[in-house]
Amino acid sequence: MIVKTAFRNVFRHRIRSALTLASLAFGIFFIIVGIGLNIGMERRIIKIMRETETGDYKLYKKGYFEEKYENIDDRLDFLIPKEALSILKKYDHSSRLVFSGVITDGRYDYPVRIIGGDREVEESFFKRSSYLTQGNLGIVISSNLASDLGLHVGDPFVLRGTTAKDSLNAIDLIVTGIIKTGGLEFDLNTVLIDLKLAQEFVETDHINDVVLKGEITPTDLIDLDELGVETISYLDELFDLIVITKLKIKVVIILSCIILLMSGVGIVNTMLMAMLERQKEIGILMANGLKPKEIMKLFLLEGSILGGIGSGIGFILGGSLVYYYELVGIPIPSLARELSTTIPLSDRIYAYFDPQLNLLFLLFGIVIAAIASFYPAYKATKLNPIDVIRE
Amino acid sequence: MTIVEGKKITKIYKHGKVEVKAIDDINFKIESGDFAVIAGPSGSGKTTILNIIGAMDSVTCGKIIINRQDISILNKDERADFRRDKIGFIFQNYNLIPVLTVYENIEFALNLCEKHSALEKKDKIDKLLNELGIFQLKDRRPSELSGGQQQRVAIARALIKDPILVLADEPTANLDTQTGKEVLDLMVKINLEKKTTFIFSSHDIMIIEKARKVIRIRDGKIEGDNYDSKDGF
Repeated sequence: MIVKTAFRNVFRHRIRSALTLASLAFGIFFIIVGIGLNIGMERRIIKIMRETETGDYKLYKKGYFEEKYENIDDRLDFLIPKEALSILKKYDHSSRLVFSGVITDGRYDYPVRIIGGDREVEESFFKRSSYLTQGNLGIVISSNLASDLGLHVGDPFVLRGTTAKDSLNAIDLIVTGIIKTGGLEFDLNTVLIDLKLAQEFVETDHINDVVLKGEITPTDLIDLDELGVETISYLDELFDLIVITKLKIKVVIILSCIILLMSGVGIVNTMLMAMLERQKEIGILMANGLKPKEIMKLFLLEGSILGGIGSGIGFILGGSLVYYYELVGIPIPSLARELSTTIPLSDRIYAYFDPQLNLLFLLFGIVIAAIASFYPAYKATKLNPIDVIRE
Repeated sequence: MTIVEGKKITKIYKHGKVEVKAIDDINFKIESGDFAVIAGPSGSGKTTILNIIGAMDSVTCGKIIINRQDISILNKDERADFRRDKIGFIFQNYNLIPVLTVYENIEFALNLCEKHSALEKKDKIDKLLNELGIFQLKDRRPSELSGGQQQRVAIARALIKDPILVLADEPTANLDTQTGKEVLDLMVKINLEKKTTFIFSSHDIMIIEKARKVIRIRDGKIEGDNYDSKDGF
């Protein structure tokens, strides 16, 4: 009966309740959509990067990973010893030679990153052919590069670079394919060529970059370490990107908490008004034997019902939108894409619908509402039934 | 059998540093099955006595014994339990819960004090609604009822838990003369048929005329305490 009474009390002033519900619903909607989009973005970043760049582990010569931003042009100084390859034989891996160079169109030089890899292995690892927008595997250039240089499949270009022996080299190549992975860094300036061609170009028979899938045994990790090879998991490799997205999630959480706090103040106000309006009724309930703790229960219940309905609406609307965005994604405007060059997101953001997490937000909304109802409930318990009944 | 006994009751209210003596060392007795009225002018202390008998208020000193139980020593929660189980209240302004229907208002009071099966509850409430002539109104909300109908529902709410005492504070004050008479006749009928003890606080001459016992009070003191009084103020 108390539940029934509480439920009906909530809708005694429909407009007032609707406004309170709306603010709470918006808060929960915002938090679910905001976090759903950010988690989706994080997962997409990791997925794209694993599929196009990192695999499960990256192997470098010791020192490179720590200094990779400083030594971006000096990758040939970090060649992996050949002995490491015998350890890696039993693993599913791709040995690569990655180095910097330039492509010239006669007027301008475009800095590029050249990845030399075994075509079949790279295909099996990264499904390169599925990302091709034109042509076939072979000499593949990334979409932005092709666009900037006006290159198409069949067009020749000149690749220049420095060899491992610090001499200059150049080679004429013909574009066989254009690729777009969604990884912005990848799409920006990458050239994919065969490993042997890369090794000939830089005049070395070493590699400097290994992508590995699966788990490495602890013994092999030690052996690799002794050979001066460091093993970096994809999570460490993507640490900076993950930190950025985690930061975005934190910002969303803080904003959501502010919105929910405002909703909480709204609930306090609504419940306080309800308490003041219903003083006589509270007195009657007390006269009929309801104890202060039961009066408190009634008000907390009303607050929780408000919270439940408001959060429920936010949960349904936010959850539906996130689920929809998980399926179809949101197109990213080109300007935003240009501005966000460090985040590999392709041309769409896909949200991530996590039912458990969203239910937690729903619960959070109810708890906020219950907490917000505490003060009005407490005030109600302190009423003197004699005074309020006679008023 | 004495159902209510007040012994040397004093009630002092404090308003800041000012003390107001609402009840001043009074003694009274009310027998089981009485139809009693505490009568007096406004501010005489009659409602205060009713509140003390109903365990809504505590005494400053003295004892109030209801059904052989000293309720002046009960704490707040114990007084709430006492009210829940043993006292039925009827108020001047009916004071029904507006969001509940007639049936639910009565059911609410019943749920508070006893555990009944749904069927038992329904039978008991329906029977009482029929007795009070408001069965056909059971699905209406208080706002859809007249004053007299609301007061009948309030009587039903007070009676549903079979209280040892029904306390009625100016129950006819908001009703027109005819409706007030009908409501009063209904309470007389219940008193006679069910032997329910009614205690009123009123200066309505119609109630005083019907009462078998009148406790007349003025300025917190009892002026007269007599049975079968036909006197009024």
